[in-house]
Amino acid sequence: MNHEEIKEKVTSFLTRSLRTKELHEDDNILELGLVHSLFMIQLIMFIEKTFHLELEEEELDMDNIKTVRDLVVLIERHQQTGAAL
Amino acid sequence: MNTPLQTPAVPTAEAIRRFVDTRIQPQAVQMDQDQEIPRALFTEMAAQGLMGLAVPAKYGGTAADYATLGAIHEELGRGYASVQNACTVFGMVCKPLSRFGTEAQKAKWLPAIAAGEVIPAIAITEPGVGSDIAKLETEAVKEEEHIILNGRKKYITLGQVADLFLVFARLNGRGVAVLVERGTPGLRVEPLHGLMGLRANMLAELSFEDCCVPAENMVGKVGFGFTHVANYALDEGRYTTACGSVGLAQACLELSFHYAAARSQFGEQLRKHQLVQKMLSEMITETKAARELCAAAGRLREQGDPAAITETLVAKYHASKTAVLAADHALQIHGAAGCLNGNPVERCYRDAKIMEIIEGTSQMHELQIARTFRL
Repeated sequence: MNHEEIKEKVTSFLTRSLRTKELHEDDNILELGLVHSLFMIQLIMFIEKTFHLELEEEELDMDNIKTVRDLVVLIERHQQTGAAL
Repeated sequence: MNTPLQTPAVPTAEAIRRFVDTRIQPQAVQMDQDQEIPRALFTEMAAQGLMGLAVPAKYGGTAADYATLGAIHEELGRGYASVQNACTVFGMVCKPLSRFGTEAQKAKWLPAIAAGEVIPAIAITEPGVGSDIAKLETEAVKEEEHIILNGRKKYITLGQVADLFLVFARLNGRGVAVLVERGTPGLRVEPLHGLMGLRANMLAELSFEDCCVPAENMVGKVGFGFTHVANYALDEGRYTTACGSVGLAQACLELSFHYAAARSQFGEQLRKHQLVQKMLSEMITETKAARELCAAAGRLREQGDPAAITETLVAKYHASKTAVLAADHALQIHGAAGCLNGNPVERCYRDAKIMEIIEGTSQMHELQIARTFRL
């Protein structure tokens, strides 16, 4: 999956899960107050199933994955290091 | 604990139906009256693969897919809701432990739980904090290589007999999940008796007074306790409780069919009376609807679709309400006979109401459904 495809999937998931119409690459979903209590487990489920990778514990800290850009970087890093399952 | 790793076959719903009919249902009245699930039954259940439903095969579990898991919990709920809820607790501990636990934690505990050698419990609720888990008051302090717990937990299912507790606390204001073994100095377990329904849940109150455990007992990072570990557990618990509620409703329906066919009033069977038919029709329709909602949630869970979280909330909300409605109608159809202690309908009536409270009250479900839709 290339960069644009990953970005499109991540953006689509976030807008759907967080029920927001628009989300730019660097919008901070924490500061926008969009995150609900069940979001994190939805996010884990989405990333692991969609991109076939298993996230490490350190990567699941919300402070490090609060924008579309953060998430795309995380997923691409896994793909580049061959960490995908 | 040296448990030889085996990979038992995933039990089928048909096999569990037979097990429920022969080993659980016949004991349900006694378990309700004794307020206890016999340890021997846990052993039998483990042999059926029921203790390892949420444990990966590499740790000796049966790792059922969600359709199978749902069907099995429906059968268990049809047999006796307390036994079904015990299996829910097993899942609520094993699922987050499998996801967030260290390799050492998983290797030590999961095979023993799947084998029925270790009974786990999950300790979230406190005397002053129920639904609002972000406000938990149990305190954890990290000192060198240890974690010291102080606080109280209440209404802990299986607490009376559990060998291992997954305890949620606050460390420097952030949520943590910690494994605490029974017998750890500073942990006191006091039985709570007299629950209205699910009377065999063996509830307990836990007190932690400078209860010291190794720091390596923490499940997940500091800060993950509520947002990750607890939510993972509660989400799993909501799914199996929804399916168990369908089973409870089905039990009410089957008991009512039987009674309405066997008993006559005004010269004809109860089932021929239109107002009885109305109640039976409502029970049939709502039970089928609840089952379909559970199936939909199960499909999404199996696909890993994030929408599964909301669909599970919807399924649990509707299924637990259906159990209450079905039990209410069943009691009405049975009349005085159903009000006698020892009649399964009387037990179902008491058990059903608890399904609307455990793993999040109906009101919390309404709020969470609204939030996930950003209402």
